Amino acid sequence: MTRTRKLLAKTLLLTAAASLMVGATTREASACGGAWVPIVEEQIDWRVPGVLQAERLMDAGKSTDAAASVVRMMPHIKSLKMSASKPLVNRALRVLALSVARTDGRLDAARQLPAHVQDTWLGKSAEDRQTNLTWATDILRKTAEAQENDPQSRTELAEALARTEGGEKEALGILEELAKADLVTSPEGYAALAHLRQKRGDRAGTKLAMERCEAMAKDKSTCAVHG
Amino acid sequence: MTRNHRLTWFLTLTTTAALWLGCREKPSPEDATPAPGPSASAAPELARAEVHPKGDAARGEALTQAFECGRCHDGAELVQSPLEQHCGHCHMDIMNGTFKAPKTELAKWQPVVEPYRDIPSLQSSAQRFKASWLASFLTAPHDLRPHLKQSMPRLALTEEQATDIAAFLTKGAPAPAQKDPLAGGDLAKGRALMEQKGCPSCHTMTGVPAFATQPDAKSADERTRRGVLLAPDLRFARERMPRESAIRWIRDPSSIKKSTLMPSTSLSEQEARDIAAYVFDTPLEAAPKRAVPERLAVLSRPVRYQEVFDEVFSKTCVHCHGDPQVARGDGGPGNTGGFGFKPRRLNLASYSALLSGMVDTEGERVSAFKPTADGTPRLVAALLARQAEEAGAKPGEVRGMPLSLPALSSEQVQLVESWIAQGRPR
Ligand code: HEC
Ligand code: HEC
Ligand code: HEC
Ligand code: HEC
Repeated sequence: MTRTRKLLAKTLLLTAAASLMVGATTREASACGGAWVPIVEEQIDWRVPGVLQAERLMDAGKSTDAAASVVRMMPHIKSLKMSASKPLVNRALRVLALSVARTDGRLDAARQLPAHVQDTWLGKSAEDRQTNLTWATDILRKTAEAQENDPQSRTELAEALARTEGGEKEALGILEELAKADLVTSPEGYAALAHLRQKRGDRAGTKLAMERCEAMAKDKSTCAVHG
Repeated sequence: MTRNHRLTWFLTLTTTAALWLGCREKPSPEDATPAPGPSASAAPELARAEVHPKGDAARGEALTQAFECGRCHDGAELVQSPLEQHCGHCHMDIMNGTFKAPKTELAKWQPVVEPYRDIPSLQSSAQRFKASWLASFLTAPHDLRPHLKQSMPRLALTEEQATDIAAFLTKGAPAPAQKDPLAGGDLAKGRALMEQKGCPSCHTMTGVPAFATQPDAKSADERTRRGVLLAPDLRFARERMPRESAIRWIRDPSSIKKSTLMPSTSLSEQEARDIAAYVFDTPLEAAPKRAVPERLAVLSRPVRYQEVFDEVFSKTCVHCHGDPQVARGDGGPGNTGGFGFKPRRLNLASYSALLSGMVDTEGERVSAFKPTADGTPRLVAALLARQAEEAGAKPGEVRGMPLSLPALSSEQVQLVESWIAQGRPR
């Protein structure tokens, strides 16, 4: 970002923050074809660009950064519930849950998160990691259920399931079905598929999934088969 | 600033802007009032048709709502979409500076919202268009205006539906005159008069020798510039306009269509007849053929998603294939449906969304890269189809994309193809 752009960014955030004082309820965003105007009736919700930014980071494979920005923005996020009337919260929950899943319940974000918001997110103990993964799987399952037959949220649910005890069979079922239609939406999804196929001794299948992961990932370490 | 950033800022800003932005019904500057102008009564009275032309006008009217013609067009008493959905009004407000957003942002958007700002109003269609032409144009639209970027989208209209809409738009059309109103026109005089009266300063007419004057699409005068954008290639006039309307139109167009940007010209009836005869009857050479752009070999250098997004998807596609979660469930016509299309659920706003594919015509989720009969990934086939449509090819199985906007360049298509061939790296 250039200097002027930084300045502009600041100005905008200020404008937004100032409008926050207006208070009252938020109507999420307005439809306008592709122009996405987030119409907020009486107040500005600065989390709108924040969540969008976190999603962009996630989409680019930077899951820890994405997760940390969500936790900083909504420190009490663990207490929030998914709800059809709060799409923005749902989106923030999804970003965090996916990051948690992709890091095996262990967000490497000690430096990005002030101590008082760290909660169990760093996954320091096996118990914390388990708590985190269970929470993440639950969120991703609800996300997938809320969207009818959506490959992205199904891939993400399968990514989480593949890392939980007892979730592997379901994960494999989802990923095999998606892979058949060429609808696995992330390299991490293919990495999970490779891992699950390997466990079943399907060597040819493991190799194919690995190849897809490596073609899609920016960084081959994304595809390391663990376990 | 990259597209990506611009979009983010658009989002942030309109959050602020929307504070003051009520959804109001407003006529676009191009027009609104369907009533004929005051000079209408001075024009020769044209007899009314006794029988309806082919097609059911009432059904046609309902179809214009179902196909959301009023999301782009004014006039013809079309039901107008609210500002937050209206491709034309919102872009127009941004261009005019009346959209409630900071000046700096407006200035940034203005250069890119030109597409869809100018869309011809359908006011007084009955006097201006033949039903037969309307019906064929609606099923197979082609470019009418050489300087206008956007064009009429190829909608999923059947011939019968198009005929019904044509009947609606031509309701109350004048009956064909007994005697050819253009008989006795002098073509050579007509051409000279056109040059003299400045018609070619707005109009191109392909198929005849070029006029000395040329339209100036960059004119400093806003009204002239828009006039040039909205002036049709006159080669189509003979197919489109009833001969009965030609003389009155050329002398005093606003007596037919109040909001038109075409000025009235001081001409005698005979002079107007000479011009009309030239426009309608002079022999035309075959339409200039546009070649289908060359399909380039895939690149050997690495192509990543971000580059394809910045160069292609963010430029035009995301405005119709957006993320419904950030816009109250409306992902645009190419995602959640619109312009009469069923939701195809193709979201081009992010990597994972694109890899989620789309819903095919049977309702099945399929990959956007699923090969078509000749092995081309469907997404690429859509881009090639748009190039072919522009070159005049018959519509094929895959609808050309970007819908109603100019085809991508060969280099842009090459970028998309290369990325797919490389395994769609993130
Ligand atoms: C996405 C916006 C959009 C939608 C939706 C749309 N149109 Fe159009 N239409 C255009 C544009 C742009 C043009 C100008 C085309 C050109 O000049 O080449 C046009 C041209 C036309 C014309 C020719 C008008 C003239 O003055 O040349 C008619 C008639 C027309 N449209 C009818 C319809 C009808 C009927 C519908 C609904 C079934 C419809 N349009 C939906 C954008 C749209
Ligand atoms: C509420 C206002 C609004 C509405 C409604 C709207 N747009 Fe836009 N549109 C914008 C703004 C603002 C931009 C510029 C934003 C940017 O480039 O980041 C834009 C840009 C575009 C562009 C990009 C042009 C380019 O070359 O970069 C296209 C294409 C577009 N819009 C198409 C549409 C279509 C099609 C519709 C109707 C389905 C539509 N828009 C409805 C506000 C709107
Ligand atoms: C300032 C620009 C401008 C000038 C000058 C101009 N026109 Fe037009 N003309 C237009 C526009 C814009 C339209 C489209 C009508 C509409 O939808 O408002 C049009 C429409 C027409 C049509 C109908 C074409 C069709 O296919 O529907 C004819 C015929 C025509 N003009 C002839 C002329 C003649 C002859 C002259 C000179 C005497 C002339 N025009 C001068 C802008 C101009
Ligand atoms: C003006 C709106 C609009 C724009 C701009 C647009 N699309 Fe579309 N797109 C649609 C609509 C509407 C459909 C559904 C068409 C149908 O069902 O036949 C669609 C369908 C598609 C399909 C599926 C086609 C098929 O027949 O299966 C693809 C692929 C596609 N779009 C890609 C793109 C790409 C890539 C771009 C940008 C270069 C783009 N679109 C720009 C509106 C748009």
